[in-house]
Order: sequence, then structure tokens, then C-alpha cells
Amino acid sequence: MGSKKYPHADYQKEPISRREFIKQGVAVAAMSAAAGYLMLAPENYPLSLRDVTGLRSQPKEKPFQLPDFRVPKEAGVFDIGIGRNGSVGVKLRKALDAIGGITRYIKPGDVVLIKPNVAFDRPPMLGATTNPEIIEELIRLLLVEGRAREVRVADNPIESPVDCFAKSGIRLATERAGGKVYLPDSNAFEILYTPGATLIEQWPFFKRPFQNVNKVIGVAPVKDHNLCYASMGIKNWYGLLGGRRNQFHQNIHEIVSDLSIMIKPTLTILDGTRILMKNGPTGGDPSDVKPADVIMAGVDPVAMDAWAFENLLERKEKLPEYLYKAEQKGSGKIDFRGRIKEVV
Amino acid sequence: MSLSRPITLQEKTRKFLRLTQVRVFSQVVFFGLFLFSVWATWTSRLEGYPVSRLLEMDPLVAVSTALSTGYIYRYLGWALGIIVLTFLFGRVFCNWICPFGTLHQFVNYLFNIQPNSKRIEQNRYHPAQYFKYAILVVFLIMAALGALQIGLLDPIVMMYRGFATFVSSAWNMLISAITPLFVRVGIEASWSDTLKFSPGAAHRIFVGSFWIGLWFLLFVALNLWKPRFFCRFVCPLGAFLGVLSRYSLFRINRDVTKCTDCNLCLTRCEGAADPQSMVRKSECFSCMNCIDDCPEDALQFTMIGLDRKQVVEAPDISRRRLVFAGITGLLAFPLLRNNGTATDENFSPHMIRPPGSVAEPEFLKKCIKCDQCINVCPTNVLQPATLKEGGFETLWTPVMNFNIGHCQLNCTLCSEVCPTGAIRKITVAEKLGKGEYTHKGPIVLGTAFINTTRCLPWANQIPCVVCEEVCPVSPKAIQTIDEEVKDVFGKMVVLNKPFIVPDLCIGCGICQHECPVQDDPAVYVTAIGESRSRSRRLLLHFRSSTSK
Amino acid sequence: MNQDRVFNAKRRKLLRKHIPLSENVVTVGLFGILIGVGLWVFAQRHHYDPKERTLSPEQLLQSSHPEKLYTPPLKPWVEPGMDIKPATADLGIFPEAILDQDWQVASRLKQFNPDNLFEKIDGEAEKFIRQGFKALYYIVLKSKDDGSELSIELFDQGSATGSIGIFSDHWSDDKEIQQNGPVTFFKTSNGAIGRKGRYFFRIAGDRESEKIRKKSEQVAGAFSQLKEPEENVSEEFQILSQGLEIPSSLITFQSKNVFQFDFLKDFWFGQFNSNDPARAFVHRAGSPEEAKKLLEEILNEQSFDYEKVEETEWGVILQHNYLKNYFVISQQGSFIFGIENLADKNQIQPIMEKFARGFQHGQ
Repeated sequence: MGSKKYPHADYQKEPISRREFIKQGVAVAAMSAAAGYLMLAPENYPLSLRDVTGLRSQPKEKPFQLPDFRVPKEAGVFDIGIGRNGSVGVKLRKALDAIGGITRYIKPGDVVLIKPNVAFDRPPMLGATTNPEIIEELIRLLLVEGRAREVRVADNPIESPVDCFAKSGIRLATERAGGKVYLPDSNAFEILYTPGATLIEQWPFFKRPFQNVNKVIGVAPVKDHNLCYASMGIKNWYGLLGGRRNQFHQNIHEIVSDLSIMIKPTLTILDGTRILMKNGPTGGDPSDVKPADVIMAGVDPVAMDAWAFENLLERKEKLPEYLYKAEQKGSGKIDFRGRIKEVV
Repeated sequence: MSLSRPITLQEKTRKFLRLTQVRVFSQVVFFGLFLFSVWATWTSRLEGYPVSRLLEMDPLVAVSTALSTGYIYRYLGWALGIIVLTFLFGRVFCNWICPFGTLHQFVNYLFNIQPNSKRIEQNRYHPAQYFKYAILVVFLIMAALGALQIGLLDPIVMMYRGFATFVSSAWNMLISAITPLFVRVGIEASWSDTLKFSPGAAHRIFVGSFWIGLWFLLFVALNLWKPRFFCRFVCPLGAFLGVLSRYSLFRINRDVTKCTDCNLCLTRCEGAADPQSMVRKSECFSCMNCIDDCPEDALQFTMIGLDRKQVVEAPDISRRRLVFAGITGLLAFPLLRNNGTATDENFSPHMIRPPGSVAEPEFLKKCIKCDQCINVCPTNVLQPATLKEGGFETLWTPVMNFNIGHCQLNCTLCSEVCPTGAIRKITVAEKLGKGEYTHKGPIVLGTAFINTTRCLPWANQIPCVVCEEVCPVSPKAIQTIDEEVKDVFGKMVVLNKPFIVPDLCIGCGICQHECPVQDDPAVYVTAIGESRSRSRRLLLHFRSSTSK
Repeated sequence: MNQDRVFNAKRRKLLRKHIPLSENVVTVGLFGILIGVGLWVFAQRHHYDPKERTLSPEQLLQSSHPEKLYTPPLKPWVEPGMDIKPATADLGIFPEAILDQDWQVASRLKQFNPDNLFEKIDGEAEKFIRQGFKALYYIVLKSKDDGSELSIELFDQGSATGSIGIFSDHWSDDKEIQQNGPVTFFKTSNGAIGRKGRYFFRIAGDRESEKIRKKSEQVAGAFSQLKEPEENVSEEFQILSQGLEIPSSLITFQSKNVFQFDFLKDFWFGQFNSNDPARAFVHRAGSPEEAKKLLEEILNEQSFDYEKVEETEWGVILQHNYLKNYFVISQQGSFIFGIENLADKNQIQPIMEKFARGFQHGQ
């Protein structure tokens, strides 16, 4: 009967030993304590994962600052040089020689970044982008005479970067002369901190090409621009920013004057070989472009822009507001009289 | 048996030089070329590579577009090569060339852990294999009526589309998700950018990618249930080649006198073509595995000495099913077309086609949804259509989404890679109406409009006009009404209120893309005014002297 | 069977025994063909026409078609509400008093300089420029009541001389000259023409109505508030030219060593007649007290050469010891004024009365 009622009556159980019990108990307690520490320890304790306000887990942006790329001024050296007549290379050399020659600005072993304006995928003749011949001649000059270690060319265009660099002829020019093109991608931007800037104190900046760079040269075309009247040397730095640039137009003059303090370039070169007189900054028709015969090089972008506005774009009305603002922010002096040396 | 005899080098070499070996090599070559063409379908890599040639030599593409349009576009004549190959050797395409077939086979090779006994059962002919012929009939009848839908299931198209809009972006996304992990532990991670399919692009997103990816992965995953499910049951291209292969000169031939009915030939039969009995010519992929697997040397791929009794030549589809498939095809056409989006009666404002596209009814006769145009587009503006733009018929066809990108002025790459001429090959001069095309004017994709209730100068007293700045035509198609206003904070501001000059607008959409009111842009392009269709024009005549 | 396996571990095993030589040959051939396919694809690299992918300069020039669009002018801000009063920024140099409930600004203030003056008054421009033209400010007022318009041209002629010159060009004998404070003007059938200091103005309505004439007169009066740069304002000049009606060509200014006294500075002289040495003079001192002190000093110094003849309510009359001509001097407020080298004693009173009238206008 019994065996029928309890079929496993003869079953022998295997109890865990005291030793095992204690071991398991200690392990469980240790794990609970560790978990408890991580979860409950105050935020400033080491290894604490606690986040009372929810702010600890927010992504942190670590802004960086750009160094000053200018070289010290020297007595008797003009601020701005203008080269006229001859091929692009000759003009460029004349302009640079007027301000002390390239070797005054570039030392052997420098890593130089050139920032052309490659904003649109247009053929060079439409004047919407920097003349590739200048880029080619400049890179050669930097590598051969300036004995720079490396020359980089970077821009963040409005249209597809690959196509803009290809169609504007800048990529070919750069590669032929021995430079290297840096294209922007989504990982290439970091937040730049610009002390004193009113609107872009912290803004995503195309940082990758700036690694180890110690000289920066902006090479900008001279273009008409509806909203801020003209896009020249200062406005060119727009192309190093990322993020929502389309908000800039809500206060464009302030932005452009901010750009003038965002970066302090070694040199600014204005490409006055093709002037986009109207329909800027995109252009699109050869009739918008006026051929000219000027290349400017200098260390005061404010004065250069003022001169180019009056003499290349031939605007006699008042200067763009951003130049006055830039002057206020200390990026240069508008009054260019007596600071220009022209080599014809 | 001379098992103990040492094997000489010559024997080794001869043993290596088997058809199955060169078949694997062929699959590697063509899969490699496919990957290369996906990689090279990008503005900086395109050069002159024939990146769409696999699509252009797809006989189903050639035959169905010939049915729908009456003509053979550009390189589609290359399909003759595959057709001749099939007439000679049967469905060799399926197991020697087709990259989707290679992918299926590779998945099975990697993950099929069944023992031989189970595999023999897996690889027996299944009566449901008729289904692909039914699909083929439905698609061909629809194509003849003017609705080309083969792209939904054509394996080459599926590969291109899946890789362009799903695999490549999945790869990029995973890389950029993993990169920060490397950075965090201090490893330089700039290498990750060189791996991208689209170098120099700021971003690549694809609106319909979820369903395209799911559709693609579904058929890959089904291999775990039935090996080569897609190839055996679904593939309309396989069905088409199956029909052709009944006339093929070569086939697998079984020497019945040698055969011991061991069924080992089924262990790796890719097509489930019954080599152990009467071989089904239309199912056989000519993979040659059964020859390797026959211990009695009873199987041969041959033209001479064929046994007439040992073959099933025609595809296994009954007349009743054929009729039903035909009826399905006939009914599917009105089913797709009734909404009127394909014609000009009820077209969607969002149905903006890439430059060079032919008029919409013609477009739908030609577009196979391979999404090559979408892959090559440098600004990411081309997106696979969802159901929103034109219903099911236009699913995954290219449309322009100007919130994502804009049509770059000097770019015609989409028209270069289109295999079927849905986007006709154009030059930049033709696109912009320059040079010898001056009298025709530029190709117009649509027309921009201003939503004055969201535009900052119009609605909010805030200066802006990014749209005017970026407008690429000369003179600009966006002009402004300039007004001085004292704003709500008492400051005098000059507002440049933009308006569109439709006579000059080419619908490139850069204004919409750059508008700071980003989610629902204050300047937006709709399809009206397209130059590809007379009935979608907007203006009676152009007021400008730069007549179009 | 190990169900937990992830990958297929089975090795491919060759079961067949015989491989015909023909298969070996075909296999080798196929290897060759496949390699050929690969090479062919790579050889296609440059198989495209780069000209199709971009625009050549020739194509661009061939279809270059400069088209000029009409751009509407900037719409100025008009303050909404009942008492319409434009923002001060819009009026520029014009005094606000030219506006009232009825009349409001109907145009943006326009400004012209010598380079583009011809755009506004082609043909006349030369005349103005010859007279020292600096700038033209132009504005249109509109009546809320009947919609009549008044256009106002305000010319900055650089100096009073210029504005007087251009004013006399416009004036003819039959027009009565009116004086309203510093403003001199005459009415026309549809407006007014006048001058104040260096400014010359023309006010013209679009119809000949009493309303227009009244408004023109009011506007002319309002110009008395016109601000002038201090160095160019010279009330002394006005007194001489308007009060004494001395032609501007005979008015001179001496900045130092007046009457050979080194303590006298900044005197204005007006010669009555080019062949008569008699001159009226006027000087404005810093304050009435200063003027009084100066007058006493002059009288004191002059006493070496002159003899006091008479002291009347309108001044002190001195006679030269040897030349016997008269020197008259008087002071009113900060002004010191008088006549020198006058031969006829009877002329003193009318001249000094004219002086007095000049001060009434001037102050």
C-alpha cells in the first residue's frame, strides 16, 4: 500500500553543505553590495553611476580653441600687396613680394592649410569659386619656396563636397601641385569656442584638417552677395563651419564680423581674376562675371575687403556693415590708405 | 580500388580542375564585380565603369521593358548574352553569375547544419516550385499593359536596391556607431571614414529603407527554412530562364545502368531539379554538384548521348494555373492604376522625378526600381518612394526629397547609370539648356513656392533670404520685395521678402533644402511645372527672354 | 547531430572517381574567360566623355543672355495709427515741423550728390554745382484730406554765398520777398522758394490751391529750425547781406588784427559801394558783457586818432582827427556793429536803423 501511495518513498535527497551555503551567501551579498554601491553612492564618489538630476548622462561637448596663426608685424612691411599684370603665378608673386615675400610668412616645416571658396559645383569661369590656378601656384610656392612640410586644402561647401571640389577644378589643381584635399564628413566637426564672438561663440567647426596645422591662408574670390553686399576674404571663413549655417542670414553682418575674429589667418589672398559682379554668390552666367587682373595678398582682411569692395566690385556707396563691426571687434582697420603696395 | 596508391601532382591538378571549382570562382568574380559596381556607383569613383551592366544584361529587364515600351534601351541588348548562354547550357546564370543566387548559396553553405539524410529530403523537387512561373506571367502581362513591376522581385534589382539603400547605409551606420567606442578607448579612428560607400557625403539616409531592407532580408532568411527558397519558388528571372532552358543543348544526363538510386546526388542539388530520376531541365541551375557527389560516375553534363526518357523538359505549371496567373496580371494593372497618380489626372505634388526622366506613364514603363540613381546621387536628394507619393505602383521608384538634399546643378549622374532609360541619358548642357540646347531651355523638375505663413521675413519680421542666396540660376528665380519694418522689439529692420519667378525656376530644390524652417520648409518645390510632361506645365508662356 | 552548432562544419567531399580530360580543359578555359571579364571591367575606367558631365566655357558663352529684372524699391516704414508721424530716421535733415496731422511723408527721403544730381534735375544741375552745390535732399509730403502732394527740394549750397546766389537766380522783381526769422523766401503760385543760411529750398505743390500755398509758407517757416553746422552759420553775414542789403561779393571777413588792434578778432565787413571806402562792420562777441567790454576798449583805443562827436541812442559817433571821416560804433546784445570811413554824416542814421532791423530778424 505504502509504496503505491509514495512511489518515491525510498528517494535520497542531496543537501547542500554548510560550506556551499556560506559561499553562495557571501557571493550574493557581495554582488548586492557592489550593485548597491554603483546604484546608490553619491555622484562624486568614484565609480558611482548615480545621476540624480539626469544631467550627468547628457552628452558633453568639449569646445576647443584655435590658436592665432598670424606672424608678428615688422616695421616697413606693407599690410597689403596688390599684384597686377602677367600670369596668375606672376601676379600672385608680385602681391606676396609686396608684403615681404612668402618666406616672411611660411617657415620651413610648416603645415599650411589653404581655405579656398569651393561653395558650389560650378566651372571656374563663372566666378563663384576660387580660381584653381591660384591654388595651384600657391601650393607650389608654399612647397618649393616656403619649404612647407604639407599643404592641405579644405572647405565645407554648400553642395556635395566631392563634386564641388571636382567641378571647380580645385581638387585637380591641388593634387597636381602636391597638396591634399580634406573633405568634410559628419565626424569631422567639433565645437569651436571663439571668445568675443556674439553669435557663434560655440559652433561646430571643420576641425579635422586643422590637426597640427600652424599656418592658415584664406584664398577667396570677390563676389556679389545680396544680403551682405559682398562675399570676400572674411566671409570666406563661413566655409569652415558646420551645423545649421542657414540661420546665419538672420543677422549676417554680425556673423561675418564674428568670422573675422573666429580665425586669425596668416595671410588672406583675394582672387581678383574674375569678379562676380551680380547674381552672387552663386552666379551662373558668364555675363555676371567681370574679368579683372588683380591678386591681393595681405594680413588685414578688413582693409582688403574694403579696398576690394570699392575697387573690384566698384561699389561707391557705403561699405558693408560687417566691415565696421569687424573693425570694432579689432580684426583690422578699414582705412587702407597708405598701407597698400601695388606692383604693376 | 587503388586507395593505397600515392596521388601524383598531375592527378591532384586534374582533380582540382573541375567544373564545380570554376563555378565557385565564377560566383566569386561576379559577386566581386557586383560589390565593385555598388562601391563605384558614386560621384568620385564612377569614372567610366559599367556599374549598371549586371542590370543591363538581365534578360527579364530587357524582355519586360521591350514588352512595355516596344524598344530596347542603350545597353539592354547585352541580355542576348545570357539568353544564348541559357539556350546552350540551361540556367547557368542562376548558379554561376547571379549575385543574389550566390548570396543564398553562401548562406546555406555557412549555416545549413543538417545531416546528409535531411539534406536529401530538403533538395527534392517541391510541387510549389511552379509558383515562380505564375509570378513571371503576372509580371509580364502587367508589363505588356504598361506597368513594369518586375523590379519588386527581380534578383539583380533586389541586390542593387538592397545594397544601395540598405546594406551600404547599414554598414556606414554601424561603422559610425562603433567608431566612438574605439575613440573612447583611445584608438585613432579616422580609418573608419575610408570605408564609407559615399566618401565626402555629410550624410546618407533613405526614407523607405526599412521595407526595402526587410524585403531583402526576408528572402535571405528564408534559406534557413528551405535552401534557396527565393531561387526555387519566387524568382521571376529564374522562371524566365527556366522557360528558355527547356531548349538548352546541354543538360545533366543520368546513366541509369550505373545508378544505384543512392540519392546522394541530392545532398547538394541547388535547384531541387531531381537529378536522381528524370532531371527537370527548367529547375536545374547547372551547378554541377551532383556530378561531384555521384560515387558511381553515373551523372554527366553533356550534349551527346542524352537519354530522352530521363528528362522533364517543360516547367511544371498546369494550364489552369497559367490562366489564373494571366487573370491576376490583368486585374493587377487596374488595381494599381485606379488612383490616377500615374497619369496626369491626380499626380502627387511630391512626385518629383530626377532630371532627364521621361513623362510619368513612360517612366512607369521603364523604371525597374533598381535604385542605382539613388545610390549615385551625391546630395542624397533621390529617395525610394514610399506609398505616399504614388501608391503601390511607384513604390521604391526614385523621387526627390528636397528636405534631404537638392538636385545639384552640374550633375547628371542618375541619368548616366539608369539601365532602362526611365531617366534618359542627358548631358549637363541639356539639363541646363546651354550650348546647343539653348533653344529648348533647362529641364524643369518642378516649381518652388513660398509659404508666407512660415517664412521668417514674411511671417516673423526676421531677416533671412537664404533661399535667394543659394538659387543657382541666373538671373535668380527668387527675387525679393524689400520692406523696412519696425519689429516687435522696436528695432528697425529691412526685410527681404522672397517671391518666386516661376519662369526662371528649375525646381532644383536647393532653396527648400537650405530653408532654416527645416521640418516644413517655408519655400518648397512641388511637381507642377515639370518640363517632362506637357500636361504638367504651369505657365501659359514664359515672360523671360531666356525662353524655355 | 549537434543542434547547438552555428556554422556548417561539413567538408566538401568528392565522391566521383573519374574526371574526364575534356572537363579539365573546359575548366581552364573558363578560368581564363572569367579573368578576362574582370580585366575588361577595369579597362572601362576611362570609357566616358568628361564633357558630358560639365559645361564648357563655349557652351556657357553661347547661351549667355544677360537679363535685367525689375527690382522694386525699398518700401519705407510708415508708423500705423491716427497721428501719422514717420520715424525720425526717415526725415533726415528736414525738421519735424514740416509735418502735421494732415500732411505726412509720401516718399522715402532721397539724397543726391554732385555726381548724380543730374538724375534729379537734369539741365539745371550745372547751375547749382557752379554755386557750390553739396547735396540735395528731396522728400514728398501728401495731404490726407485731398491727396494733394508737395515736393520739397532742399539744396545744401555749402555756404550762404552759394545759397544767396542761387536764390537771386530764382528771384524776379515782381515777387515780394518775405522774411520769417532767418528764412528768406517768396511765394509762387503753387509753393515757395527761399533760402536760409547755406540752404536753398524749392517747395512746389501738384496744384495751385490756397491750401498748397498756405502749407508752403508754413514749411518755409519751419525751415528756420534747419540745423546748420556752426562754422558755416554766420549771422553777421546775414545782417550785412539782408539787413543792409549789401551784395555778397562785397562782404568780407577779417579774422585778426581788426582796425590794427590785436585784441579784435573775427569781424565781418560790408562795403556799401565798390568805389566807396565806407564799410559797415559787425562782430558777435561771446556774451553781452564781453561785447560791452570790447566796445569800451575800442573807444578807448580809438581816442588816440578820433574825437568823439556825438553819443546817440543808436551809437557813438567819432570823427577822425585828420581825415575827418566818421566812425560809428554801437552795441546790442552780444553784437558790436557800426560803420567806418563814412564821409557823409547824414547817412549814419538810416544805416544804423537798417542794422537795428537786421537784429530783429536775426534774433
